[in-house]
Amino acid sequence: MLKQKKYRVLVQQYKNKIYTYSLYMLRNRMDADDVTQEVLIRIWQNIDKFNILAAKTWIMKTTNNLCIDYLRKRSKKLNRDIEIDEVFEESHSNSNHSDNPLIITHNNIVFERIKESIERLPDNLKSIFILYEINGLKYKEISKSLDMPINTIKVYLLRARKKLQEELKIYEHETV
Amino acid sequence: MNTKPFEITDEILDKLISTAYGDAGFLDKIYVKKLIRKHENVRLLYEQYSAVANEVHKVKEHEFPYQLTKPLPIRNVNYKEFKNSFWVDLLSIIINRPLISTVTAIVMITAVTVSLINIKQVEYKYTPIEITTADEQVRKALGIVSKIFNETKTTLRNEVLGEKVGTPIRESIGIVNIIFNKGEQK
Repeated sequence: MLKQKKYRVLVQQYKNKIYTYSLYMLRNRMDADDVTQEVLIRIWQNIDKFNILAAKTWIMKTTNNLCIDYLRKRSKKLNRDIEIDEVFEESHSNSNHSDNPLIITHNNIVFERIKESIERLPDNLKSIFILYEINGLKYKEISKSLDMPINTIKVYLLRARKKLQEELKIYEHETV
Repeated sequence: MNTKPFEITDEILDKLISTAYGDAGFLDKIYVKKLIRKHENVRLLYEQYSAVANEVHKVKEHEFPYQLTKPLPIRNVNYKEFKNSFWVDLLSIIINRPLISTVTAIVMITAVTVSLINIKQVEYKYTPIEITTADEQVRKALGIVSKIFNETKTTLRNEVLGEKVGTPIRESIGIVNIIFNKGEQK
């Protein structure tokens, strides 16, 4: 009973983080579904082995490892049928709700560009960027999740931000 | 504002980016804000990064699709219960913020303990004179009460029972006797 409660708490807490991270890293809904399910099973199997307070890093580390495995497998295959494009639609928080179609369209275009630019980031930068900016992990947690020193995390995050800015500039030039 | 381009080194650029994304240190923020006020090219670059940072911060986490839990080989776990549970939310807060939770728990326990100790420590200490005075006052109060009781008793016995109760009963018994006597005569 306690095991089930512990499991419920963990899944409730981290389900969205696992799914979001998998989705951004794998850029494919079906693979993200598989990874999320695999992580949920592993949490259940290992729930007695890890401290509940350190669960976040364990879960994100497992998610990251599984994503890497999937990316390796995928690199051997060619031409995936299903790609991510439809996946990101609902993840944009429209803080400035507007009925104006022009503003809505503009916001959607900007968001699409951001999405594309995040997608274009190299995997090592993208993982840190997603964990920090979208999943809201702290440097220390990312460091434990990815087995990297905190300073490296900081440097990679800055590189990711610069790269994102460059990617957006490329977009602007292409559009012009 | 100085329109002459300011040379932005890598270090300054890093500080500028961190400030735009909102996670720079206090001193770095002040330094960057100062540069922004002074130099047009720094301000433009900051605005560019800031605009992207704002958009990035709007990106939310994806909602976990519950249909993913259907084929999971984990028994006795109701995934629908994951939503809207007070205890799950409470435990989530504890897991998420262990330090704050621990501090809050310690503060609450300390507050309760201190308040309990304070309640136990309330002891009344009186001087002998105060005790004697209080004793006299109690005796006087009891005397007054006793006097009132006695007066009430006397009034009840002499006035109420004799006149208000005894007389009507006697009269009614007399009437009953008269009625009986008349009945016998007939």
